[in-house]
Amino acid sequence: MTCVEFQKALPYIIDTGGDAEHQAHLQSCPVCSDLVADLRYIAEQAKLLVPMEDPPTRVWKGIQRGLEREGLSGRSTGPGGRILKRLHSNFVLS
Amino acid sequence: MKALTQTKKILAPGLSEAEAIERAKQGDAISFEALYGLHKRRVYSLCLRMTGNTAEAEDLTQEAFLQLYRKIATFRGESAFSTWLHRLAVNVVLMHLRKKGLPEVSLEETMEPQQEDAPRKDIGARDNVLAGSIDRVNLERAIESLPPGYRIIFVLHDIEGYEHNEIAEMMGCSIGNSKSQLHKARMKLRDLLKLSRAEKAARH
Repeated sequence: MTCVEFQKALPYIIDTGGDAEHQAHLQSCPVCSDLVADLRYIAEQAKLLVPMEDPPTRVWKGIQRGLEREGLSGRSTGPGGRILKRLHSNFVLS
Repeated sequence: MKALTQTKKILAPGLSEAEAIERAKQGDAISFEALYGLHKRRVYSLCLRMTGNTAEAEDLTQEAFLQLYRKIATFRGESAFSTWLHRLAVNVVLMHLRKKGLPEVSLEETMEPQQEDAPRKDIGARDNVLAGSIDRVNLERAIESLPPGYRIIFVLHDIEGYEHNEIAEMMGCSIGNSKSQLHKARMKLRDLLKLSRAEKAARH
């Protein structure tokens, strides 16, 4: 198997480990072996990324405004009216 | 996809996440705000990574929680709340991208297919492997530099933990296409990270 043939099958190899022929090439070719190691390393590192940061406080204020703009505070039934009234009173008090 | 690992999250003294969800369904503002406090970071990070744009991420986080407010009564607990909310947030981002008419969600038309599908130009050349040489900041920067179509698939699969069948359903593409785009994204990331490492070495 050539490097070109091996690399054409890379998504399958990364997914499944590949077949015996792929494994044989992997053992004998340092270039393709490095490539596979890098791709696996990138995938592993990505899994370790955690959420980065909190949104700024204006996002929450925007949510409050959005609910008000949609007129949900005026609902007489359902959760909307009650939520907005309480959001409003919290907002005014704070 | 990945769900938050805590089985019982306590939001405030005497208030678990499950209780907050039930109270928010009934219109309790404090509970809704508590749910926002618990999930805002992950939703915002998802939006930021998918769009690569702070202003858009803020708007989309806002929209995701507005949608949460509108739809929380339909949450039946068939999946973890975090899973349900993050799926909702992903849909908000994808809808936004579709409205913008950007090509990144037209995955069936891959970018420069001949070039990207061609065998590596560096076949035969050997370089040091990446292991141990990249940190979180470098990786985040490289992800931000990815073409949008690649970035979305990479974020959804490798960071958020969605399976290809879930991505295909959300994106309206084939599973094979999702796999192909993910592979191209990782290859592009490898190039970007190697370039970043070479530039760093040249400065020292």
